[in-house]
Amino acid sequence: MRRIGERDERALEELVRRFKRPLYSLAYRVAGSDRFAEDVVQEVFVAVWRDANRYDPARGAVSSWLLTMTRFRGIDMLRRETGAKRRTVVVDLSLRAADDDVHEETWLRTRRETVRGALRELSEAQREAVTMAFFDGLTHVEVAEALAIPLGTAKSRIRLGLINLRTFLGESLSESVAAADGAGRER
Amino acid sequence: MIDRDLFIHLVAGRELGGLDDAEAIELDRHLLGCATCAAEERAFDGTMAALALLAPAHHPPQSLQASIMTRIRAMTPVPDPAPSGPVAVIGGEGSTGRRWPCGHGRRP
Repeated sequence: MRRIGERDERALEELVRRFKRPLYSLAYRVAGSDRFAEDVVQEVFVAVWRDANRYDPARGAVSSWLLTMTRFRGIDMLRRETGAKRRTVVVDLSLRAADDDVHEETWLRTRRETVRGALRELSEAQREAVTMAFFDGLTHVEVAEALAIPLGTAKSRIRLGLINLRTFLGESLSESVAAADGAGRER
Repeated sequence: MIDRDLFIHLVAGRELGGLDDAEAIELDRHLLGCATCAAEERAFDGTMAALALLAPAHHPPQSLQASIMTRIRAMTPVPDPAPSGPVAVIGGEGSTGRRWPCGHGRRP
């Protein structure tokens, strides 16, 4: 990130090469189309180029920063483009490893398996609520409406789901983040 | 001072936009004076990022990398030409020589 902050195009090129697939997959999942996904990913890297100096390693890994930006921008774009029309269908979270690209990088494949395992530990109700809020960008109120449950119940399921995920992921979180950011470290 | 369990619930709630104003104020006030809890918040950020990796694999178009780099190069400021002598100027003739735009992105 330091090199990108110094306007090193090759450093950015490497970052794009490394993260374009997971970011594009997330953007597509959240925004729902190739056109939106491409716009979102482009916007994310433009923001990285513009604001690289604002990245603070003490606040989290580069991969976390990129993925979080992608999700927020994907949700923003979806809301902007579709207005009130929101997806309320609980979609398959694809817990199957078969969906993975055999060519994707090892850190990503390994990490994905770890997170899948953690997600499987959640109750069905928590997993459903968390994935609706996370991937579909639904508000807690919308999750409650979609599942026909009280708002307090929806909030509780989402919060407990995240807390459990955090617990199940535990130490593997920092290890995988280090692996994900490995190529992004200064040489 | 809020207790740890409540704090954890508030942090988890905020990750997906589920706090009301009073809860958010209470959480922010607590985070200002508690490094341990601030670290915990970062761990939740990591949890969210980890979850993001579960989006089913979807291939970006081949052109994506080139499109991004084209946009980046269009943003790159062009240096002013030297007062005399032959110089290689990025952007060549007709360049507007525009300045670096101010960044105003947000840190999520």
